[in-house]
Amino acid sequence: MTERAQRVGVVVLVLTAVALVFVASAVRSYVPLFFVWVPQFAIPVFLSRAGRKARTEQDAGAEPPADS
Amino acid sequence: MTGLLASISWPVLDRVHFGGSFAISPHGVGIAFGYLLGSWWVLREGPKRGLKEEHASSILFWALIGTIFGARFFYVVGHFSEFNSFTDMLKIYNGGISLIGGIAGAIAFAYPVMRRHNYRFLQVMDSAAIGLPFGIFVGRIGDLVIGDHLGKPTSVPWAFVYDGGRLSGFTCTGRVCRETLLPGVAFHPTLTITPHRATLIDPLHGGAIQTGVGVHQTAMYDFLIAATLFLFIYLVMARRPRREGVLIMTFAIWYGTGRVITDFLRVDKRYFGLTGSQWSTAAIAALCTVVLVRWAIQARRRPPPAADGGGGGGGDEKENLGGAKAAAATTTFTPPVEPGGRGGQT
Repeated sequence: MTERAQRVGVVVLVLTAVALVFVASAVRSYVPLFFVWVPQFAIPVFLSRAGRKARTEQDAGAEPPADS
Repeated sequence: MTGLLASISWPVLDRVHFGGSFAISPHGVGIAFGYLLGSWWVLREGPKRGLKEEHASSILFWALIGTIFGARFFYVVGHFSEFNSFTDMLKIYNGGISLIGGIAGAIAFAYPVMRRHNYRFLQVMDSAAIGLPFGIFVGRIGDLVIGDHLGKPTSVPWAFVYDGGRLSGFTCTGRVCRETLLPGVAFHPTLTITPHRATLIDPLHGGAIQTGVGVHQTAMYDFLIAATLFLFIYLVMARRPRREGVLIMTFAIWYGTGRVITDFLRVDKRYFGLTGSQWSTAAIAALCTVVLVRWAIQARRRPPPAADGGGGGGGDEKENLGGAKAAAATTTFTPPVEPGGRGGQT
């Protein structure tokens, strides 16, 4: 995953979190406020997975040929 | 008309009850989540700036102790007249903490650990520059759930209109909630909130000082300030290497300015016209602005490096050491010194 894709992902998750506050207001309930923590927790999960994937791809790309 | 536009509203929930005797405050859960996720960012950003993971964990642990201590200590100092005894001051579970105090306490407790591992102050603080606004962004949700930090009455379209539930600190009868603000102070107005109106009443004359369809939800303003600041530091400032200290000072200036502005919308104890938080954040924001401007002027005055193509980084020996004084002469990124590189690591 490119760094740009990671940034876009973070922005989307932040905007989702902010939007849920307005959803809470629209439906007149505090329940959506508890769900704001879901996209917020998703940011570290998303970045950790993206980082791990990028490292795996990098390692695979840099792997020396078997005969060298 | 303005009442129809007021759209921010939900019933508040001060405690989630489990059985008859056990309850959890969403406020506390928010703070815990905020610290947890903020710490994750420190552990992610720290190694990029030369922090070892185990040292970062140690710093975060002491910072946590300092946060709890500082948050309560600053609150008690700021609201001293509200406490009857020393035991009352220790009852942190009754509520009453200060975010700015928490940050100050974290720094005070973590500083000796930073020095013990031979890290520079700004090196560690830059590692926390993304985690701090992110932690506030997460933690403020708890304030929104319990309806904390309600400010002055207003009729702006984004006024928070009460829609039921027990407001933290208020005495609620039916759907009418009242709170005596600033107890122990000569002028202690009463804030009355109903689903249709919010009124700030002068206790001496009984008249309304300010009225509105709702109140300013200053925790929501803080939530939005922290969200935009997090995005700005993550997307713009941390995108390329910058001089040590720039990230944390960006946080201090942005967040400090935001707090100074939003605190005018709160009804809080004031000292010479400003709240305790306003004084402290204004002083820090001003100091950081002066430092950043000075650094920018120094960088402009500094002659451009000779284009000799030398691979030594274009600096003298001092600069290569990455010391704080050497770093002060350049706006280019100074690679962090490996802990122990200067000797004396324990």
